[in-house]
Amino acid sequence: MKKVTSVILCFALLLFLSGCAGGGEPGPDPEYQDYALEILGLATGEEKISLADIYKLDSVEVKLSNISSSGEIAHLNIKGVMLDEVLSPYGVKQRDYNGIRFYAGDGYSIVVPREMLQNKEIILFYEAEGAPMKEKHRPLRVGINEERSMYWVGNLTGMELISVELTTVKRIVFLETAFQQLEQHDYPDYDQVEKAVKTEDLLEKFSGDEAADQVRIKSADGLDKNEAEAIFRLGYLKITGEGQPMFLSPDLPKGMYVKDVLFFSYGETAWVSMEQLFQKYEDEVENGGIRVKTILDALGLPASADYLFTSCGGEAMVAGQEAIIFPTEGGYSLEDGDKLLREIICLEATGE
Amino acid sequence: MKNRTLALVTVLLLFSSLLFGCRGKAAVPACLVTGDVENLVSLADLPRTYYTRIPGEKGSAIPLAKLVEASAPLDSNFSVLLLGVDGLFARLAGDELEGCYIVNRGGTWNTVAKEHPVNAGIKDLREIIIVAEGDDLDLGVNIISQTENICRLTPGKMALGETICYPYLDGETKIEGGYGISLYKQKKVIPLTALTEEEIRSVLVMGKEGEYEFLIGFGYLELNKNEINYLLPKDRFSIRNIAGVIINPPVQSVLDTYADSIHYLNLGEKVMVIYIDGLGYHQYEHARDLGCIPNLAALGTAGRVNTIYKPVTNAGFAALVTGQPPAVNGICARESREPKVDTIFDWLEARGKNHVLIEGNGSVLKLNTNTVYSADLNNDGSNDDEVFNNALTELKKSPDFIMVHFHGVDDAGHNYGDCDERTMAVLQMVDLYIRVLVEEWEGRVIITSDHGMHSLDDEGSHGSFRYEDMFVPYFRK
Repeated sequence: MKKVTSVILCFALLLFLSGCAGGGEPGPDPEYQDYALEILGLATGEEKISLADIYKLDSVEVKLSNISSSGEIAHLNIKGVMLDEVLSPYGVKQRDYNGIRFYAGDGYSIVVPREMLQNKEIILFYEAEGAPMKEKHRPLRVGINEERSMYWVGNLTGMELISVELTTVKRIVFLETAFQQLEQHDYPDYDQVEKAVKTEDLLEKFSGDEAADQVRIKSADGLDKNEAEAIFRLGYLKITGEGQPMFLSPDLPKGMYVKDVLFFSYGETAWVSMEQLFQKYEDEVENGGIRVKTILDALGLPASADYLFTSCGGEAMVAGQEAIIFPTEGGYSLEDGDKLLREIICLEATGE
Repeated sequence: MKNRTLALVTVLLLFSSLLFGCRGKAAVPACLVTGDVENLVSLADLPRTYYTRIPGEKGSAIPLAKLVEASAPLDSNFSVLLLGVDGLFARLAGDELEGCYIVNRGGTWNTVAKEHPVNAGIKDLREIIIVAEGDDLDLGVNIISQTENICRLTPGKMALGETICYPYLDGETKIEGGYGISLYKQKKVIPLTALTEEEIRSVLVMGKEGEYEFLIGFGYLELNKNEINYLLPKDRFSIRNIAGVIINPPVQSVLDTYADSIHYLNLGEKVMVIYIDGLGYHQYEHARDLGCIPNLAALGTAGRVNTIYKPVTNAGFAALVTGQPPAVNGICARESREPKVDTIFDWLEARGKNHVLIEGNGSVLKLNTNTVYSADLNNDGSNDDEVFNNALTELKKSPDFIMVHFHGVDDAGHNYGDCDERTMAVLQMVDLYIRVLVEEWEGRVIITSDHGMHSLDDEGSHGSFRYEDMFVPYFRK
């Protein structure tokens, strides 16, 4: 009888242990104490975050659907952290990128495209169905709701953040100065007739043969959107009146207009409204001027040692990011020590 | 004792294997009931209660009629396509399914159809597709222009029609130090250009969950089980489960009510929005041609603007006061009442401006404003006269913003039809009210509607993606 009791007790213990495996708040498996997720492509260079630190982040528990290669849909209750939570210490978000390549321990990798980064929340999870994951997926796996399993990279070792256009921006054009060099059209706006320049003219004059599918537009009030190039080319930038510079078009719904444009970028060129920049960063204005670095920070561009500034008259001057830009009659001037360049229209990174 | 222990262990092992070993199902091939249905039904997932014996045969089977019933066809008039893995398919009338069974033999789903010709016995079924046979525009996806309902597609019709297989790039993978591959998925699509002869410059695509996308050029309609998606393959952009597409839409919409109001308010002007519930652009044109609305006609020609999907009062009203489509403001249907985003009234409140809403006898949305209700005090069957009187009273207080909501045209449209003379008579009365309100108001005036109306026999209805419901007049004075 004792043996019977022992067997029952053993079985009960087994059941108890199996039932408890997924409970509580488990920390990372000690087997992965040396694990660190590699993050490439940040402006600050390569970073690593340990599994223990990932476990310390705010976790989420959600039910996601995963589509297998044969089209079968599986539902999975997972626990992990939002990718944006992992990226937040570096001041970036998944939406900031054109793509993210996730790497697995066996060398497999896949790029999650921009469309998915824009529309889906990505979760790096460490538990599934209330228990640690299968060995082959540990310690972290990518989860993207209603996406194919090929994107659900398991045994995640790293990710490469693939830049948006901005980090490829090499030239910055000063918008208000550029307006003076383009044909200004009458633009009926409610009961007023305002002045506007065609976006097409801006692209043609300052971006040459560049081609890109999207134009990124950011407004002073924080709106940050990508617009299809074909749509952007239909429009105008209103340069007088309320909300200027304002992206609009008689061929587009008002919901697509953007007022108080701070900058927009297309390929390697960005156009910056200095008027909006001076207003938005008024705390950084010193003696009526603003440092080049402030412009770069506003655009999220990495610093370069020197920049080549060009004036409307074709004169050039090399200056660093501490040089000052200040408004003058007819435009903006650059001051770097005892050097001065008037009516600047653009700057380009020298590549150093 | 040893035997007892052994027996007990065996029982426990059996129990354990039952507990842990039976989670996986036996390999049953996937076969889905899809097309014009409410529910996708997977044959492999059906409980045993669906099975019955085929008279005179061994084994159990699923009666096709019962299977179809479980999928909840969207139209009572339908046909059934039995589609085999080899591409062969049989089409059966929906009311002739008696004697049809689906059996699982040798690991494949097969048809037994005793009352039909032998060719109905499709082997190795891949899909069972329900095709709506009626012409109800409420089903599926409608392609419309500003003045015409061009065509309607349902998933079932699409399965029967001419489609192309588009090689959609699903992703690219690679192994470090090894080779990379590109993965594609064949998508069954129809280019929008195949559905209209009109030159497509732009489209406005609306989803059933209130999505709203203005796009340049054309895309593709993708068949996805019981849904149709809008696809721009090169941009990897899609809108799932769409309600319809407007070809070459107007750039103005009812959403402009919000933006235009704020524009004028920012200039320090006062704004009155006159909101005529249920007035479609075609009704406005009909009334104008009949000479019923001289006062509106005196304001010039109204802009033809689109409303949002679903064209019902709650969703249209929310679009007017938020300037956002339903997917953003959260008001997609008649059941929703509380916008998720700020309204024009919140904007006014934050700036310390006076605002008032003149309503009928009940509230449509939960709004942060002073609402004046207008019960039918004289029992004449309409609240419009009370709405008018209350509006006149409030105008005298000179608010910064006033919205006046007339319901009579919508009520009459429902009762008699969109262009019935009795509906026109109600609109004629509203036109008189408008003359007085505009005369009494020292500020800007916007006159518009939330949705249109179409006729069904002796009455009217709305809520469909059709031009009669989707386009309304818009005046700005």
